[in-house]
Amino acid sequence: MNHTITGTFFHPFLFSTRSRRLFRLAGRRGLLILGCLLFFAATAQGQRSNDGSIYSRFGLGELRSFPSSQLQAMGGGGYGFPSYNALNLNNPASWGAQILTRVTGGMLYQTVEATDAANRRSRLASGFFNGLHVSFPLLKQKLGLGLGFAPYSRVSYRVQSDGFLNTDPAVLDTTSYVVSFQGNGGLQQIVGGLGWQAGSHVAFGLSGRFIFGILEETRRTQFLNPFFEDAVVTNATRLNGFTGSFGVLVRLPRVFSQNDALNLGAAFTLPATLTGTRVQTLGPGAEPDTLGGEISGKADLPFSLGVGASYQPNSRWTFIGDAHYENWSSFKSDYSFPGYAPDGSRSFDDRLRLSGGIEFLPAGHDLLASYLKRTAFRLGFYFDQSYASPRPDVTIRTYALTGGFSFPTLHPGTRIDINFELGTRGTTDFGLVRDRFLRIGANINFGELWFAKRKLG
Amino acid sequence: MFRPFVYPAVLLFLLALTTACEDPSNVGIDLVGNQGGDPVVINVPPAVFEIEPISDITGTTTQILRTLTGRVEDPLLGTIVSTGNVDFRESPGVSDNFRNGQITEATLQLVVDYAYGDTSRALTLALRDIPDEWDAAGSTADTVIQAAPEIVTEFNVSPTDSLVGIALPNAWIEAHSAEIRSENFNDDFHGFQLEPQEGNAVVGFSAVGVQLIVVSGGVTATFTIAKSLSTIARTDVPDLGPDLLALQDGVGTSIEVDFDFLADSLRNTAVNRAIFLFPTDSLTPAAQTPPGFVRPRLGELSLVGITDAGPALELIRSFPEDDGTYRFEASGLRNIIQSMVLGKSTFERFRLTVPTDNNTINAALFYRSNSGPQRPEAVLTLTPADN
Repeated sequence: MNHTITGTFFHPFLFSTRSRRLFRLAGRRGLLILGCLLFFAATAQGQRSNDGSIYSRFGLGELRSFPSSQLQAMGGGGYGFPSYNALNLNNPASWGAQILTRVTGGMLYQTVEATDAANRRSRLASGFFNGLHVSFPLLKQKLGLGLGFAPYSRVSYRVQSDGFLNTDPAVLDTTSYVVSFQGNGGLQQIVGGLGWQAGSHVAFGLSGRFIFGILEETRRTQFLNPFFEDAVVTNATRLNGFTGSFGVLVRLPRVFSQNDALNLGAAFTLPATLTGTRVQTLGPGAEPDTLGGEISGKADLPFSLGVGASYQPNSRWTFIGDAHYENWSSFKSDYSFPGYAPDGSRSFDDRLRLSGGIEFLPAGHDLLASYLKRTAFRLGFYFDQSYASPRPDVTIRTYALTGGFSFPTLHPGTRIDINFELGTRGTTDFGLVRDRFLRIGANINFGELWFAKRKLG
Repeated sequence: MFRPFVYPAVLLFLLALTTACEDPSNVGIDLVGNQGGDPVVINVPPAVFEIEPISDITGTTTQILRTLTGRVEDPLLGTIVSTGNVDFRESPGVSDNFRNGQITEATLQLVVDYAYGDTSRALTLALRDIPDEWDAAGSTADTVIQAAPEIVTEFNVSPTDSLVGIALPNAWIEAHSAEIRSENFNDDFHGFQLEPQEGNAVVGFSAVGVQLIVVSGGVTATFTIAKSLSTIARTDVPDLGPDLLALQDGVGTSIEVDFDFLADSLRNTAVNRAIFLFPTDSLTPAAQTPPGFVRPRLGELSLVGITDAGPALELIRSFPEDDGTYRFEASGLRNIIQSMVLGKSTFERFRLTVPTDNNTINAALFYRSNSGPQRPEAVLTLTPADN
């Protein structure tokens, strides 16, 4: 079997001892520089973990995914993309064709500017973990194992209102106060599975997903008068459960030319039942009081289906297009969530996400080309129709442009990806707000040939 | 030199700069909906505000308290009778001349530092020996100290006097000459009881001013106070009506205070601030004070936390404000109220009591009606936990 590797950045047979040594030297210095810059940027901005969109308050949070740093810059789809350069978390069928052992991870920073109908604005910034993927081939280009830790949803918001407590001044001081509503946390997922390249044209994959996390809402009443003690009420919902995905990937070579390939793929994720507990606490203090005890319950996550196609006319260009559907109208839970009531008075809507993207790698397979020619340029977009809304009669839609640069390193299998995402969410009509957000991702995609037997003589 | 990380690092840094500057505001607050968080002020009247009989500790041996004695008929608060008991200790350095000499003079010196009642009339007191050992430490105002039936001497004290010297008769000196000059004075001599005979006042003698001064062999020796106990009894207490409650020091009264902090309206709320207000009536005492009659106003009060199982614990003290209202506020008190609201407090209720720092029979009339403009109450600033 002879696979044509398209859209890839390395050639495994050029992996010399010298290049490994160079990578170690340059890599350590580069990682240090990158780490310092990330730390500097985060510290300089004084970011908080709950400085995001108010829309993340609704439902189980803003649904997030990190299919790979490459796909993130191309709209975030990739169900039909057989990536050899990174673990494509969206479709386990793509994991079978791996050649290198890969570790990918990164951070994401975002600025959200919210505007209301009166044109008032707030701007918040935060940084958070993007995800960590590990993959390696069990049978070269035949059977591959993938492991991933990535966000499933994220709750991150902070809004506040001002008030004034006016009382009998003979008895009690008057005071101004601020009531702030903050959301923290979210659900994470640990993904593990196998991809099997069944033949030249078909691949299958299975993965299990353990979803877990804490959704935390905090309401803090802060007084300017020091005689008053602040009140902090926190509702924390802890959920966890298993689900599974399976995917298929069909490769159709030589569709329009001798060197091109069209890939079609789909992935289906089973419904999942998350069990959990909800606790309300009253603070402030390091040991807040628990109110009313723990409430046990469950939440039934819906199935999801993603389909996509990718077209690679040659080793320099890649085009992808995807559609993703989640059946959130079937969501059931014992717990109430913003935008959802267990009694049926409020429910979620189905989620639809459409995305597309382009990657241009000027050098193609040429590893001896100049640095800039070996830098990949990516562009994409996505449209996301949210499953949760502050108003039952309004659907929250997100439109975003994505892009990124994938910089080569001295190590042929390793790249540094800088991604950005510029989008808008919601509307200023109906008393809602419009978010404009800018996300910047920094990811390191490390790849090396491991577990290979040395050939002597 | 080729530096592959420079390009991504510079790009990342430039992009990161665009995310700087935070400006949180209330944009989007309408999307939160009616989620509460606004504090409210609630006035909670006490469910119980009643007199609680607690015997006052009036006897001490370490920090000697003022010694009270006298009898007063207060038209507002009834008849109060107090008997003072004092014992002495020998001062160091008594000379042999004193011990071997003959007592020529013995004087009981008293310094008046407190008066309650009719200050225009002198108070007649009888002085008696206490024949047996008696215990003062921790003794309460209702303790009975048995004195000798014979009166050593009677003397008059004007409530407006400051220094009073009572010359002890020769018969008493002869009877006690040996034990006064003895090295076992502290064990053999048990002091005097000061019992009211006539007059309409209770006076207090400063602990540092009570001395027994004896001249023997030409040497003067001073015996200072070793212990003191004032017994106090109140009778003929007038009815003050349903709206007033008298708290008087020394007579064995405290006020039991209990709030229903587990009421549904308070349950699971965050207590941002807690103030206890106990207003007092100054008009009624003023109206029922005869000419020349002095009724000192109650001073510092203690708020005590009471547990069902354990001992009482003093939480906070307060002096009355200008309008006579006692106001108790402290972060510790807020914490206790917060625990009570959540049903987790070790305290079941409270008690208003007069500290035992100084013996008085000072009094205050507390408003107790829950319906009047002046009423005891807890002023709580609360933030409901639920919406």
